[in-house]
Amino acid sequence: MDVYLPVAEMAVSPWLMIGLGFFVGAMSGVFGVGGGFLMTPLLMLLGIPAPTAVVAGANVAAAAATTSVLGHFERRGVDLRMGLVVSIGGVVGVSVGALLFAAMKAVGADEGLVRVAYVGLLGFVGFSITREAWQALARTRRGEEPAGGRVRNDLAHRLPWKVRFPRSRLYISVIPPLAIGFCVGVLSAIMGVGGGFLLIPLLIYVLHLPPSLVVGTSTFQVLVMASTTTFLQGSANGGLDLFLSGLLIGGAVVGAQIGIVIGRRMKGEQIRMVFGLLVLLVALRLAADLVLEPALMFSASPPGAGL
Amino acid sequence: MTGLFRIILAVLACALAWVGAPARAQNRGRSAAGIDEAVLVTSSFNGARVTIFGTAPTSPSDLDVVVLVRGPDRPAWIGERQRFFGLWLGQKRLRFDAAPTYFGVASAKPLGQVAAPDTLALYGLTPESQLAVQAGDTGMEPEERDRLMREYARLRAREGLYVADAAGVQRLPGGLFRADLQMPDTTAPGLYTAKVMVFRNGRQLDSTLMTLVVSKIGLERVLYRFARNSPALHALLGVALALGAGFVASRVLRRVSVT
Repeated sequence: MDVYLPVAEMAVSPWLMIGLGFFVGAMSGVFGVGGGFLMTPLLMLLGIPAPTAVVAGANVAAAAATTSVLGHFERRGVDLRMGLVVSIGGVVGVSVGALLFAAMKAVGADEGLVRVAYVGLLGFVGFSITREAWQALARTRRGEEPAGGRVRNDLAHRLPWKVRFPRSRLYISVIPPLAIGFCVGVLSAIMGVGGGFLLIPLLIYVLHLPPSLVVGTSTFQVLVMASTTTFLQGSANGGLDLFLSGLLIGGAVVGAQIGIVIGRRMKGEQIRMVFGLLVLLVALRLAADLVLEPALMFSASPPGAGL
Repeated sequence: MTGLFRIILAVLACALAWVGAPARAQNRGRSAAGIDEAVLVTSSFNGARVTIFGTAPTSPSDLDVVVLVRGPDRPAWIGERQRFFGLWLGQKRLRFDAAPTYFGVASAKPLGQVAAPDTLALYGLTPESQLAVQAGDTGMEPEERDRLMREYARLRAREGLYVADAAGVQRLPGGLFRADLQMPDTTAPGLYTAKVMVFRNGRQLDSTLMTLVVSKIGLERVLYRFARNSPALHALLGVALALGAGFVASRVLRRVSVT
């Protein structure tokens, strides 16, 4: 028994959508990402028109992030101040990114650029996370101390406007977190994703956030960004279908809770390892699309094209 | 989204067409439109079968009845993937100002045996003849343009939106005929036209036009209108839904896991 989506103007299987939401929600709980980079391509693969798929991905990410972030708050796993600073940069970045995207679209450079940027970025992020996690795991196996320790004298410490982040026990300039939020915002507007998968490595390697706070803080930022994207895209492109969102969200919020429980049982390095491999896999899949002869040479506007 | 559990909404549009005796007065024959009916799109809408009844003279025996059902026009495009520097990056696009969202032709035998190709195009019986190429794209080479238009029609046919059913018209006893066309779930709501044409020896003798409405009702209609008329409020509701569901789920599941 299918359900008709009033805005997308098509019928879908509700169980398939709930299942998809559950899967992406679980990812969100484990890794602290919104899952937009998985949800949107999967929806398009199932024949959902692109404008609907993009905004549905953001909407589900907002729901999954809400339920995850509440879990992290209870375990004191969120640096709220850091999350807010990054989010402020992010919201500004999304707005700038939307303008930039419109300008690129006007000169016809949007599609190719987005795809190459996607592959490059995902490939780089996936590779560096996997490598770092692999080294960390190898060190633990040899019984050595975790590398690094606390960094005291990098750029974040030398720039002006220093602020205390008590939860993370950091005393750094607000410029790097703002800049990171801004860059992630611009990219997420251009690429149509929440940006959690970009933020996690930046929180770890640039801001040196304590590992126990990384996932919760990133989830908080995803919540703000995904809500902003849902609102901006939904009101501008009209692709938001509340029926579809309801089905996906129903699955995602349950999945997210289970994901948090799974995440709690894994070590930080293990989570990063699996996450890095997942990102690499998506990057490889997209790279294959660029190189291999496409199965479908032709594509057309969505059937109703009312969007 | 075809499934085993697809429910076909039964006869949703019945229309009677009286096609005048063509032998006596070729195009001035008496013809009258039938009853307007509606296809209702509810949450269980899964496509519809549209049936049109009518009468046509039984003699001479070589008359061909062709029924065309056409959905509302909307802008559309077709893109062909292009290779740049060895990578599949861009698209060559042909844009249409107007293309029928649904285009179904039912006949009793293949259209090619009813009339010559240019006659069929003249009477709008081929989907390609119904595509209005956007002004900016008319400069494309004609062969290239025709090729992309054919591909567009082929894509839509694969989606079940452009249908040519060569066994869709049945002659019933007593000069009656019956035409059936299947619409998929992705068919666009709006005003549809159904045209009944009678051909003989490749020439059109008579035609009758009628309309039918495909419209969303109930909650589907309310939500669609809401999304269209106040997109900002609709988007805010989407955000609220996400935050609310996330909050409720975390409370409920925490209670479950505690007890």
